[in-house]
Amino acid sequence: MTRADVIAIGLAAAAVGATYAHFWQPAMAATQFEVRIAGQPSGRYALDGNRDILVEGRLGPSRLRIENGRVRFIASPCRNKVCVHSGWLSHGGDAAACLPNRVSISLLGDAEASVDAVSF
Amino acid sequence: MRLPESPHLRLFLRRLILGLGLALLFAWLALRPRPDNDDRLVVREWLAMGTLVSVSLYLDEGQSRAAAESALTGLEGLLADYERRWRAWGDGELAALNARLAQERVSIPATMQPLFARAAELSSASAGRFDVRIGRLVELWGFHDETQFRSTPPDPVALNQAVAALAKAPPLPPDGHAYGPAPGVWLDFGAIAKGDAVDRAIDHLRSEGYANAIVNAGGNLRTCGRRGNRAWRIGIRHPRPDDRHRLLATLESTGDEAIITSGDYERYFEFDGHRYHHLLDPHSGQPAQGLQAVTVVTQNGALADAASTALFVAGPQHWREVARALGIDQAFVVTAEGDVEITAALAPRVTFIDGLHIKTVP
Repeated sequence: MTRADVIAIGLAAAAVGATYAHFWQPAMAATQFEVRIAGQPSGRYALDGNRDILVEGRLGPSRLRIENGRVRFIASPCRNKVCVHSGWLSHGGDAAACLPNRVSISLLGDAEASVDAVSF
Repeated sequence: MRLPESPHLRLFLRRLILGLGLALLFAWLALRPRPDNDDRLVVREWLAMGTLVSVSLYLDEGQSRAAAESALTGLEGLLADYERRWRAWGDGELAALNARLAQERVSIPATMQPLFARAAELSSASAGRFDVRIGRLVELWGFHDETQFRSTPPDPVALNQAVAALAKAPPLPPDGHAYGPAPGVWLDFGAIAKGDAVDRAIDHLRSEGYANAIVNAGGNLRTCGRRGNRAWRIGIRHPRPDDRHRLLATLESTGDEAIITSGDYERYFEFDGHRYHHLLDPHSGQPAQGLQAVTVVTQNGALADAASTALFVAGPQHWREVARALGIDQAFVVTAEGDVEITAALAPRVTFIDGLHIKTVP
């Protein structure tokens, strides 16, 4: 094996590593989520970037926060904040809802790496 | 571009290009989006039965998406009727029956008798840990109406009176034909109706020719069939989710079973640093203590639903014996300390997240 072979193998290995680093995502991570109001789809959002989204429900605005590939309710005009207590969602197939405000979100991800339903 | 004159350099470049090409090919093979027959998956979500209902259908070859959508619309209607009939408060049949129960003997409509009989049987098998007669307690705690949640515990005098009235009230009739007079009783099928509803929903979808489905009514779910070439994959919610762990466990279901969880996080409020949740012990009138969540896996949704409540109320000392009495062999509980106890029959099927203390029990 010549020195050139070693360099070529080294570069090839580096290319594999770089591709992995660029494309790898944690298992079951969702890539986007859908917002529904009273069951009707009202929009799809990518789980990238960090930002807040306001969704106008029956009682008023619910605030959703997107951060580091996750999403959660951070405020909603309901009494007991069950939606806020649901915490961060990041798995494809997971969902949370603010029932009083009729706002629900469900996460969409690579089907082979998501759960199909969540028991809670 | 002209290739360099040096044969060594040419060989090197040729190998480099081949090597990089192979590297990219392998990386792509490993990371490419999986080919998925998403075009055969039909999902619909809507708000019903006081919760989020989600149905996934996996179509057989030759089944059309449009036909599936119309079957789902039929299912929406069926569940809306079911909800109206079984709502404890409102204008349906159960609510009307409740309104007369204190004064007179009320005959139970034929369509409702099977679930009455089932509730009577499960209540007696669980030694009263599951009890549909607790509507007055639920009402005092304010867990019956999501828009009217309380943020303080109810008046202890009123609560004690309700518990005493319940203790004196007649049991549900085993045949489910007629009930009452039963002062102090307000029937609330909230701990069994969603499980029964997902059973009916699966039956409905099967009768329409859909053999592969999940029906999930607010976390009370039932599966049938599979998702194409793999099993349905079910997540179980972590009772105390944090930044990294929203799910506690996953399991695969090749169908025809109900997977139902009861937890102290579903409906609750905190007062004076204490959590008051909706899983009430019918004997004390207080939220049951000692567990955070119970998951039950069994074929029938009504049984799984009632059993998850009964086991939760039974608590860390008695859940195992109540499970046996109800004929449940696949179940796990999360204790107040966050540890897991799981039956030997269910343990091999469940993959838990790392870092949990897991004890397998017979």
